[in-house]
Amino acid sequence: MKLRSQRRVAQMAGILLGLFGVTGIGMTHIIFPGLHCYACPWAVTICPIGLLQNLVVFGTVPFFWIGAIFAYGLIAGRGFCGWFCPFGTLNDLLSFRKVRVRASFSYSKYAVLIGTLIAAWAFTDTMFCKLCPAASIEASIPYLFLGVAKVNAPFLLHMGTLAGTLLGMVLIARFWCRYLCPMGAILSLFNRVSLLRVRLEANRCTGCGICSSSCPMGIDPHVEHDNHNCIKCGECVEACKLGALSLTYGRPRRGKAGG
Amino acid sequence: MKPMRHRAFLLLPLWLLAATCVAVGQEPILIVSLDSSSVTIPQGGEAIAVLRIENRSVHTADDLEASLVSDGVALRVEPDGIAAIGPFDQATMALRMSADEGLASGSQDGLLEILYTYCIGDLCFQVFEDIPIRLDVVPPSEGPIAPPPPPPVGPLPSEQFHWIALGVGLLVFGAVAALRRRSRRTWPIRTATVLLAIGALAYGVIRGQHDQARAIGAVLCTSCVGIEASQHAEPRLSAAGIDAIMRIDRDIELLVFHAAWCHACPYAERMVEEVARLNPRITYRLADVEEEPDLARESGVVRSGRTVVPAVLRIDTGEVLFGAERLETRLIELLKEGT
Repeated sequence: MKLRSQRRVAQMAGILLGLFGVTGIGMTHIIFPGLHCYACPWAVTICPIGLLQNLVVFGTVPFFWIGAIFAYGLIAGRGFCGWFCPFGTLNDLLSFRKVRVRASFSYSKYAVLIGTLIAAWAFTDTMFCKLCPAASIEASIPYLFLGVAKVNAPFLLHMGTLAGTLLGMVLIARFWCRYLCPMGAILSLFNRVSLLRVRLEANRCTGCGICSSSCPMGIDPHVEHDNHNCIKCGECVEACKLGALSLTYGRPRRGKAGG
Repeated sequence: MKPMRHRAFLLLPLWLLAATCVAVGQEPILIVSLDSSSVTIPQGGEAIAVLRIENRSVHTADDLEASLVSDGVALRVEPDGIAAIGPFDQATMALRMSADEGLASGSQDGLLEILYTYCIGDLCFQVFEDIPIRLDVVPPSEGPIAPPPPPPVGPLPSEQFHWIALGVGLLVFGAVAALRRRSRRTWPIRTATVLLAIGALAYGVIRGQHDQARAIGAVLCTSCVGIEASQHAEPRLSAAGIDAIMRIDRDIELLVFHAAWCHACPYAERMVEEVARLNPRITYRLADVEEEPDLARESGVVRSGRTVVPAVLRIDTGEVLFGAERLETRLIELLKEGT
């Protein structure tokens, strides 16, 4: 099976886990390794960002949250963005323009993360959730049809942020993942630690740049294959006909590690 | 063999992690219990009982007080007062009971009254809880004159300790990460990550944080995710609303579903309380959706597996109101239906 096909299967698994509540099993103790609203009527997992905000509001030392995030960071880092996150999958589906934008802009997601935490502390409320486009799709719209939500100011605010994000996704591939996702910001800290890695065999690389043009995150895999923004989607691996790039899990084979 | 041979195992650790996070039951705000339901006190002497307190909620319980309703038995609590019991903290209190010298021997039923407060935003609630206790008063020769030493008291371990432990853990991780930058070897940082992940997960589970996380996810607080605006102010009924409520001339019972951390619930609770105060024919009861999940399910406040709070149920018609937005208008419409 081709790498992209395998990724689609994993992304389907992510969506299935996100909507597993249709089976009626209810909420579990699992923190979702991506951005998926726990208010979704069919969610069985807990949104890490929603939970983190609540923990900030309550002043709880978040041991369980940290344990789960470190585990996810080690398992795949931002690989979850590329392979599992349902909102990342939506970004993928709208990735028409794999444009390159100034790399420093991607640090804005850390500002979103810090702003989310400060807002939760300052307002003792989950302020990010009120703007989150994932919550717009997964909570506001379903609950409108379930008769719980109304078309009111908070609903329209949700729709506004959703529309803005969708427009951004259409104009810039993986717009949300690149610039705004606080969960992506957290997982990106583990990119150099995670077991899932993109590896470069420098002796095979001619520097043609085809990997850069294929990258939805707008990075240069042949220069920075372990960039904090890399979602390990493997698009560059498939694009490189010389086999200079590979996606590995765990320890690299002897003599194959490069970069 | 191709380098991608392991990728099929990408999701395996996730499922293993999921399998370890097994659901268990949910608990109310403060769980208070005595080490023994009966205490033997010698006439003119003392006895000690241990009160165990466990906060299973996400809120801090403040100003915890204990008093004893009994004839001829006085109560002294050690420590005098526990300032606060944080979310998911535990504490113990020693209850030193002393009987009057002239108290007749025999058994009597006493009542231990526990009082504490908790706040959500600016709204605070005072909670009473009664624990029955049997007091066996015996002649001085039969009972212990010198009481046993009191147990360790106070909340342990403190939140400060946890923050320090977390800070040290992250510092160690940061130091290992810094070393990683100087070396191509990845095993030190990966080992540190594994240790920190396992340690934090295990300690989080011991402290019940997995239950806390599940509880937060299991209930849809309408204002928390932006389905409606947050209501932090004290509810005030309009003059027209008060008039409409007072005109209702039939018995109506309401059930208000709430959750401990729901931001909009106190507003709905206060509103219904005010309505019931204005018209004695309207009565209400509060139902914590965590304590009474079956009632919530039967009452129709569970939508697609998610319990929605706040919710107000009119019992005779089965009509349910969700959320706290425009609650006065909607509540009056609900009450006027069929009248």
